[in-house]
Amino acid sequence: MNKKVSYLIVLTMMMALILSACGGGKKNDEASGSSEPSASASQSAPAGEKAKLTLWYWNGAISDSSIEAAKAKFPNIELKAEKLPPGDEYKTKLKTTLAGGGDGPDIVAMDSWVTEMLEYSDKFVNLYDQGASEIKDQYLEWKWNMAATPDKKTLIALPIDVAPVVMFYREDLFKQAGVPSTPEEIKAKVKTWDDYIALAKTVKEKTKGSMGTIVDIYRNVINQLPKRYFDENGNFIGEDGHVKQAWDTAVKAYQSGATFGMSSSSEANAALNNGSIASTIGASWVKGDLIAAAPDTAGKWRIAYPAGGVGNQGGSFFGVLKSTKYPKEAYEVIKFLVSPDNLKKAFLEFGNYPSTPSVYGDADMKQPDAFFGNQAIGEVFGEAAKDVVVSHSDPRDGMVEDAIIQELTLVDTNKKDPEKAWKDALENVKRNLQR
Amino acid sequence: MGTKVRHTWREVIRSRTQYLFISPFYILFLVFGLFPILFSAYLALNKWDGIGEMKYVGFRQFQFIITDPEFLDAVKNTFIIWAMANIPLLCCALVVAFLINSAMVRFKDFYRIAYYLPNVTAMVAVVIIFQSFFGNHYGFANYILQKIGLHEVAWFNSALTVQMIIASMIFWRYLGYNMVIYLAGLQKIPSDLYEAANLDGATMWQTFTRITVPMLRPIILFTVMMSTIGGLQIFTEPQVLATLQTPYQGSITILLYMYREAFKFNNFGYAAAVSWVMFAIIMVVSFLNWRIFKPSDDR
Repeated sequence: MNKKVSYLIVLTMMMALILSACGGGKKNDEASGSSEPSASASQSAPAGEKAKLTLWYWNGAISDSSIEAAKAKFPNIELKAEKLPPGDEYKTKLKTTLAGGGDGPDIVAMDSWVTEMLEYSDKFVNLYDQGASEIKDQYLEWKWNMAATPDKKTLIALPIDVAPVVMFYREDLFKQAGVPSTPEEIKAKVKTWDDYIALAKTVKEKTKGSMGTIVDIYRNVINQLPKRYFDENGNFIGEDGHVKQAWDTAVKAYQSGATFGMSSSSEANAALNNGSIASTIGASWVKGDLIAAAPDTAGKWRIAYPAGGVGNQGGSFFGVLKSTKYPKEAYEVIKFLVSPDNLKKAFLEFGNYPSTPSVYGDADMKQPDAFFGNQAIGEVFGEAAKDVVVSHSDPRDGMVEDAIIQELTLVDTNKKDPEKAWKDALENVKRNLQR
Repeated sequence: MGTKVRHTWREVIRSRTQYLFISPFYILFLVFGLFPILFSAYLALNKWDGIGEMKYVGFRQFQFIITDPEFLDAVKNTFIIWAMANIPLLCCALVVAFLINSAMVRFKDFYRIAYYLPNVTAMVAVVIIFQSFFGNHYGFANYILQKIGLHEVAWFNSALTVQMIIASMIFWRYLGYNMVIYLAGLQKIPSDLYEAANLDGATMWQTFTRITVPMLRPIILFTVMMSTIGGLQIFTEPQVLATLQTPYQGSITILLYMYREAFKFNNFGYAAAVSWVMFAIIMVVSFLNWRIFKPSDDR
């Protein structure tokens, strides 16, 4: 009997320990934890009671010091910032939260796929109701409109950063190949894709340094176009010629022999470091990847205005979910987080380029960057950020792009006939659209 | 029947303390096991993007699956990878187990641990190592080929070599696991059989084919079953291998196809239907396995 009782006690204690460990583990992930019961529902927090707001973001979406500053600035708000894994995983988590309802976050960061969320604008607080029109002028217009419904009556999110697309290139290799090698020369002389492909070919022949892969080029071109795969009414427009034009440009680049062969990202990183890749077109955040991947080439890279015009890499946004109990407080918090000063902080800390043109001229935005041979890279970013074209995006874009890229990859890896590959890609897309 | 059910319930109530203690498992199973299974059956008949309304479409999605060339390709890839990995794997595991079990090998424990070790490594880490080993441009495999005067191979550029890489990962990882299972089976075979064979002057090959294999039949059935069920669900290897946007050619398996439909393209209903088709395929294959490797004493 005694034995039984003691076993029981031990078992109960183990259960209690496991359960409490599970509960505790979750709390550790949060920036700050509290176990008080949740406040009663009301439009704004009653005096003496803190408004509890949960914020979802991913590493690098916003500067952590800005979040700390927000906590200090709003003593009546208890801000709980939860850092989640980025990318598709984040998007899926947000989507399932929207679908399932329940205890979700109040404030969420969103990437350029914010346009896909416009379809569910009823799940978000209309920020125009909270007075967002007042700050509209501070932000880039194209960027602001990305988060507004087509009738311009509902705004589901405020802009954080933009990701202007620029060309990253090795100045030393360009010089060695005898092609234009200063940012100014490149902007003046390398305007079209034909110019760039010809230049890349010379660089490749003289220095063994390639341009991006065939898929990179395709993405670069498609991102520069004002149209993508679907129109505003959801009709497939992939056969209208502009997609084929992007495809043909990529194939042409490949056939010139200047593209880097398809490979894993770790190999691409190695190639960046050893001079096998001499130029690549990408969004401003490629800067961080470059610094991490190619430490041996510090000082040799430069940034220039890209051939064919700047691309559309939306950058991120902050929205407020309809399920929040404190829409007013939540709006105040995001308004503060995306204020020009805080966005500038993010640029200085990790290179996210602000969507507020008023700070572009600031002296500290033009600081020379040692990795880029003391070039004032902020200037190029600022120039590129203003010229962006925005295309309509659709939830099915991913499916179409995947089918195209799959076939385009085969052109490189299996030497598949480009025309046949294009036909197969289209056929695949059309079949999937019928589903 | 009724009295029997009532009797069972009385038994349950009488030993409620015990049931209470095992209840956490059953509650978790109900919430995270049974409910998702039933829900996926419901989902399979609906079109659902994860947020919007579900739309009932009946068996249309199943129809699309079995006519989708990409799905058929995924089935083909899965079976090719499975065969490439598991047939040599199980044969080698049996031979290794037999050798370790035989009297002449010393340091048995060491070999047992050494062969089992790959099974406890983190899968993602292993995939990343294999990936850089076989890299197209700077892989170690190509470095060796060059050193011995051969041509480089663009490993990730053809379906066959990609499948080979995945198969070799599975082989490397599960050799020890299956070996340990065989070893346990071998130790259950009474040693007098071997002694008798020895006295009759049987060779090692004869002992292996006439005693070891027949006596191990049920164990072999078990490992074949398990590796079939596991092998048809290959996912992590191709998923991690493909750091590019799309998986490498020849590496889209059924499970990866399903995952991409659900979490990349948000076709949750369709993905649920795929998982049921996969369930049917695994059922059929397991049944075939069972027919082929049925323990001899059943006949």
